[in-house]
Amino acid sequence: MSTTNRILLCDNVWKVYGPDADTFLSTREQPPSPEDLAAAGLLAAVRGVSLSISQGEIFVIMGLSGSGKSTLLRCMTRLVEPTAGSILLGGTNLLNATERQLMQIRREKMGMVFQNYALMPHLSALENVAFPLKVQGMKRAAREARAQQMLDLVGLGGRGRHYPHELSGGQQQRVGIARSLTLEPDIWFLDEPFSALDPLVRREMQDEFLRLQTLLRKTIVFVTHDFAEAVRLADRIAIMREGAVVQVATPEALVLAPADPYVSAFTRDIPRAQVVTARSAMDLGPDAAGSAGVAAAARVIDIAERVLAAEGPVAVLAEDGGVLGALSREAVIRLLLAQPHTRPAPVQ
Amino acid sequence: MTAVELRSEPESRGDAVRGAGAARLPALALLAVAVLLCLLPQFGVEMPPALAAIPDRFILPWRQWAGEALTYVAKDSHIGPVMVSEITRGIAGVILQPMLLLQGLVSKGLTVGGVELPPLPWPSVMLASALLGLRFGSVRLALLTGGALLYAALFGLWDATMLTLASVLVSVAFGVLLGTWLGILAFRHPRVDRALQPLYDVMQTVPIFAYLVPILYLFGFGPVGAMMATVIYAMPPMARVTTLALRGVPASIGEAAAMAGCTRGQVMRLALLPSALPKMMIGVNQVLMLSLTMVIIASVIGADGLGAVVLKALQSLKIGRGLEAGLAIVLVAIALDRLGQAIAERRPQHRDAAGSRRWALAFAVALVLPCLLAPMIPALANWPADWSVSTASWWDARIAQMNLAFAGPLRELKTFAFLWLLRPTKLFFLAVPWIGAVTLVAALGLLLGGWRLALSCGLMMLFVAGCGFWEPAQLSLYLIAISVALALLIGMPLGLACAASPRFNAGMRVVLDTIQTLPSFVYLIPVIMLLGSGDFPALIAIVVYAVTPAVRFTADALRHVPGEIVEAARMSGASRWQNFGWVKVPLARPGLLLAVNQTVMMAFGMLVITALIGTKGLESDTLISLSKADPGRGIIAGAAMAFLAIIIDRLLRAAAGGQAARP
Ligand SMILES: Nc1ncnc2c1ncn2[C@@H]1O[C@H](COP(=O)(O)OP(=O)(O)OP(=O)(O)O)[C@@H](O)[C@H]1O
Ligand SMILES: [Mg+2]
Repeated sequence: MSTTNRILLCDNVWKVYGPDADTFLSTREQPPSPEDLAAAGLLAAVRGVSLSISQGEIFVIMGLSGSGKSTLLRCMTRLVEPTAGSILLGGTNLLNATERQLMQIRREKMGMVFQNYALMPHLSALENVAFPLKVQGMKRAAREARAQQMLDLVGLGGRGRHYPHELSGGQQQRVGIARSLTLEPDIWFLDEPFSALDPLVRREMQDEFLRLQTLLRKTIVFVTHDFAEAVRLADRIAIMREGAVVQVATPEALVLAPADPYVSAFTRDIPRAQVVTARSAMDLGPDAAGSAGVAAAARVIDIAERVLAAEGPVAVLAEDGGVLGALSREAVIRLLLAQPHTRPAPVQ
Repeated sequence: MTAVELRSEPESRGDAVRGAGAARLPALALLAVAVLLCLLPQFGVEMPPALAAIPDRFILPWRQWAGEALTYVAKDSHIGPVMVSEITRGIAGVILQPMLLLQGLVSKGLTVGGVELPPLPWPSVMLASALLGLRFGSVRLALLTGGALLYAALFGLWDATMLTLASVLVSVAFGVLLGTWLGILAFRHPRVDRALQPLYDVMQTVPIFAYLVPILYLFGFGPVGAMMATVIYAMPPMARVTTLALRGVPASIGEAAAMAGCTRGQVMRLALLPSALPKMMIGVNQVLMLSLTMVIIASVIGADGLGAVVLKALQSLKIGRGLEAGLAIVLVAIALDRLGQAIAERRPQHRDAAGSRRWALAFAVALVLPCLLAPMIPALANWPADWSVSTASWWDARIAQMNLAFAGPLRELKTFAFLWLLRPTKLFFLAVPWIGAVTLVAALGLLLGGWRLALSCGLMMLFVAGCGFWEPAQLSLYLIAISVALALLIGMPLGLACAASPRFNAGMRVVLDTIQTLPSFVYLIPVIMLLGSGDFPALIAIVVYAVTPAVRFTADALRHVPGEIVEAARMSGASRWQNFGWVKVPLARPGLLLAVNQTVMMAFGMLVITALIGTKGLESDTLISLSKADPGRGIIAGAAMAFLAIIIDRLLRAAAGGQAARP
């Protein structure tokens, strides 16, 4: 990731709950350990998190329940006031913003989707989507026209007059997504948006989400505790544990080089072929002449069929079209058959 | 064998609830001393007079102080340069305007810019309320709301009913506004919440008449004073429900609003409040019913309306007329309650959008059409006198007949109750020495809750003993004691039957729901009709009123005993009665104690009003203070009564395990 187009920067962000948390933290020179905090009757939901998120990437935050994912996400939007640290959004420090500035930033730059949909029960789907515009005082006809567009975008065009309790969970979340996009935010925050849905609908919503992203190209911060979901969606994943970020890496790097047993425990159940790219699985050497190659960044699962159907090894191409190496049928079969919970045989 | 095992478990649990094994012995010893002190006079032992009743020279002039303090606040005090009396009269003025407007609209007529407008014709109001019922409920509800008003018109009670409804609506509006505001405040600032909760507790136990005294002094006698009293009396449930409802809104709704760019005020106004509204409607319904109760009672201080009709009829012994007006109150109460519930239970439907314009049109037609036709058809403007009926004389005849037929047995019953129940209990209570009562309350407090409870209850009892109203206090307590005992004796078996049989329960619920919506005042009518006035009719009225919570809470308590435990007991070979006595009752103990508590509180609520039929306790002092313009007397007697209620409430709650939920 290049450093030039970073849009959101968290620097040493803390969120400590408990009496006099501010003074406790500011009087310390060393960052306090969890034991110190517990002794003072405090709880650190977020501990010294530093992250940088680039323009247009899907950044996923993962961790067990209670590891501080939601709190970190809410610090980034200042729905929760961080105890210490700084959060830069496109150059301005969010934590110095006044109430009014913050309101303006949220209107112009941020959108958010919630786990339990958070639709207003007294408003119809259309009115819910139009809500952010109503707050700004836009006229009814104008805002409802815009809201109707958003509903069409998420495939709920015909249900605008329905109330939330008249919609299924998946439909409600579509409304939530439409609402969060009404103001065309630069950054899109999603807090476990699909966790409350059953597996089939969840899958469908993930597809929908990816479809929207190819259309809209937002910068996305996405919280989930489902690693399979993270792998499907993420460019990069941050793994959290007890408030701290343990590792930030691509899905592939997490699987191939987990920083510690906690991380590898997460990645254990993921089929290797789903995360490993052609670049990692290929053999070096240009013995794959002839056939049309596969992209180096492609995941093995997506290209397996082509490789298996080919006569011999398939060329792996860099973005500029240069041949990097060759992917053999054996390598692909090994990855496909790899037991998820064993480490894959070293690919060479 | 099994029986023994079964028994030991709940008992040890009981001990844990009472807590503190070490503190128990001294508490029990103190209790023994207290009981002995209370009983000594019964065995003919002469107490030193100073211990039996606090001598006059030790009684502080509370009454005078309270009177002077109130007079000072009402007449001479000021906040900064502004007199308090100006502020209160100002508030009164603000409230008066909408009330006059509404009263003018439905009953008295309005003068706008020199033009006199007649009040809304009766078909407008009747049709509109039937439409309301249809809109939010069903045809049945429409028949109920329209029918209640038809009854009022038919029996010549139209104007009185309209005045009552106008007062109720205006006080509901103010009560809901005030309650919502306080509820939001408590939601935002937990400290405010902690300060307000105990205040609401006290407000709900202070006798109604004691309320009226200071409020009338501050806001002036007349309709506005009555209105203020109503608002203050009916507001606490709204405030409580608002705070609870706001807390119940998922945090993410507020967050979603904030992310949409709402200001703090917008988050509350556009997101939190509307989301909490369905739950808040429960509070609105309670305010509605409490307001009706109070508006009726306010007839005692001269407010117009149905209450006044009943009161006048009863005072001149026109029982039939009183009965007719009473029935109108009953119908209005039930109709308002059901309509309120129907509105509260509604959820928005997407089909509504198209229909709502048609409804608005229907309402407009219902309201306007009769207005247009009324100038041509006088029968529409005023309900023609020859359409009215009255059953008053028929009732009077029936009652006279009944009194004649039952005079003998009734007199015997009265005499019997007086000789064997009322008189002995009364004498017993009057003989209890103050030192015994204070010690008893403190000992129970120590036993059930610890020294803090003992101290607070003991001090409150000391105030009751030393405020100059000891004898009236005992007269109040004796009526409470008998009526609660009787109400429990009747109510608990019924509650038991409800818990045992779902079918009986279903039938009983309808009866209870209906009875509970009736303003307490209504209960006096049949009692006076059949029994006249005095302690015995008062007793009957209190019992009838207080039986409802006894049934309901007993049934609830027994129903909430986990089924598995009962099955386990049955599997260990416990018989039906063993199962009941050793398993269900001990497990349901906290709930049953709450049932007792609710019964006592309802009994106090009714006792207050029995002052109107000539009881002699604290309640009569608060009532008399109204007519004698002796505010000190009303305030102190009211405070004493509130303290008695609070003492019993605290002790029973402590016995039930302290944290048990408030109903
Ligand atoms: N308002 C609060 N006061 C005190 N502690 C809090 C508060 N909010 C969160 N916490 C604590 O902070 C920790 C992190 O909570 P958070 O909601 O961020 O976890 P999470 O990773 O989102 O979990 P989940 O997957 O269950 O949503 C938890 O231990 C939680 O108890
Ligand atoms: Mg969370």
